[in-house]
Amino acid sequence: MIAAVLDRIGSFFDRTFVVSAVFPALIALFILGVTTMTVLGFESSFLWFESLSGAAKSAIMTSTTGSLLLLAFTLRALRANILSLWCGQYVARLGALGPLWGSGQRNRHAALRETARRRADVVELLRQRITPVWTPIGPEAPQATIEQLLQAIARVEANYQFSRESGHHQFRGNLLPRLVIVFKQYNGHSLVRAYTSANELAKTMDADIQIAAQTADGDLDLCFGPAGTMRPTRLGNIVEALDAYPFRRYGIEGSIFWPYLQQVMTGSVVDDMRDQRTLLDLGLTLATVFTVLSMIAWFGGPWIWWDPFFWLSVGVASLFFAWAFYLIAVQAALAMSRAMRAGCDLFRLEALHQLYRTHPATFLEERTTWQQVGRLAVYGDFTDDFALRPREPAGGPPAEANP
Amino acid sequence: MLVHQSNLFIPARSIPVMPLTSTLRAAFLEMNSYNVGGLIAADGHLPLYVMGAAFLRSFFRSNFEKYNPTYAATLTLSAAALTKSRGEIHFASDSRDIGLLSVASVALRLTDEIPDLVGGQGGFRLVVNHAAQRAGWLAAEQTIANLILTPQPDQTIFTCEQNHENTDADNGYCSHCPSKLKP
Repeated sequence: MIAAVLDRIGSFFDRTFVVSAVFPALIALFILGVTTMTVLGFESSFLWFESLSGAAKSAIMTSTTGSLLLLAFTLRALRANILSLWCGQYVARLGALGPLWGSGQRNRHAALRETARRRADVVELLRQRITPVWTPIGPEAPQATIEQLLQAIARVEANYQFSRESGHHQFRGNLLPRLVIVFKQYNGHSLVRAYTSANELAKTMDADIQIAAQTADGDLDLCFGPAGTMRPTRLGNIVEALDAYPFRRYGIEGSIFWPYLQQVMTGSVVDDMRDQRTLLDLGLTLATVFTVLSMIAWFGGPWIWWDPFFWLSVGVASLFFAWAFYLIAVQAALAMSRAMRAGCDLFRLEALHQLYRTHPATFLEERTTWQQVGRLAVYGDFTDDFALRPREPAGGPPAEANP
Repeated sequence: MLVHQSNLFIPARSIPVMPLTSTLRAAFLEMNSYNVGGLIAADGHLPLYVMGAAFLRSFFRSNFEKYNPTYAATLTLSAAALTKSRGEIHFASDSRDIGLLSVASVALRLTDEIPDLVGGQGGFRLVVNHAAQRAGWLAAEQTIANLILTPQPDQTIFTCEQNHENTDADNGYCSHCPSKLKP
């Protein structure tokens, strides 16, 4: 029995607990201690500590250790709530302020969607504008005019390297009208160099638009869930996107089957997921701790010691650290999301196998199978009969199956 | 006579070797860059086919007319080989066309004697050096070697309605003016 109790205690003090709960608690107590000593004065604090008897000192140390563990266990227990808080699930309780809170994410989503939908049309635009005015007859363009055009194209290209938006604006607003005027006046054959240069620049712009659109499409898939699941924070949206990923791809009910998938995952992807989860917990816990410290500094500090500048500085510094740790948590969530997606892609069929389903022959068959399994797991719907995987013979598959 | 002394031997650097997944657009660009009339299509390190410029242009033209130039330019060498083997498209015969030849699966060494069989096989053979690296190719016939080494600009260059020359089929339009390319 004692061994069982010790095992439980041992498992409770695992790496995740130490990193994501004990470490933040230690930092919180350290900052509280330093702040208190600053208020009381470092010298007088040390003198007071020196004046204590041995028993009193050990009582203080014991109570500090106890507080540390208590705080760590509290933070550990609040892990899910902390995640929900930073995912913005409590924002709905802010009432009228709620919609304001999420405007940044809505704007980001709209901007990404616009970039993803943007069509590479610069080459086509150039062709459309020049085709009506291009003529094989007429006077030859003077060399000076061609050189001026080439210089203008080079200027737009240089500007485009510096700022894409400005480059696009110059191409459409200045260069194209100028090209149209020159092509109207002169023989098109004599302007081949100018057209070729403009066409090359337009191709570069189109390629960049395509790359940006694909990147934005990937970001939308990684950072935002399906329509109607928008959260007010970036972290919340990443979590929503991750939750929706198995269903979007394979028809797997993510909220039901993630634990199944995690059960069958093996290899480095599991370690990667665990490490990123620990980092996510650490980041969020520290962000929470620093936010609470900043609140204490701003609302409780002046009641203890009247020095507004000191408490304002402590509050701002704490809030800055909270923001920095939140950003770390977001990066960890992105890395975890990528690892979990990889795990889902690689081990989903193994999860089906563990559910005693036969191996689907096609992707569509797999989706149908997951929908059946999902209905059974979520609603207890077993109206669709299905074949169970034949039992494997003891000792593994027959020898001839293993070449 | 040893392989490397023969007129049938083509050094490796003379003709491009491209993956079967390469697009026709890339293939024409590469043939123009090497200034040759054919290429070797490989699956990884394994050379599989010798493809003539006229054969590839014929395949490009049929898809250009049937669908659109952008689609035709993005078709792959493997699609060309598959279409030929299925006989789905009639390829116009041309005396300068080597068509689609297979590369024999057994390689020769530079210092080997030219085998008698080569003429009978009608294909290409990979030639490797003492370090088993690709040294070149041995054509079955002198005509084939000449055809593949001779540039065929009428097959690899695309002219537009204004007769501007383009080394790249691109999106079906000329790079020098707004006109369409001829198939």
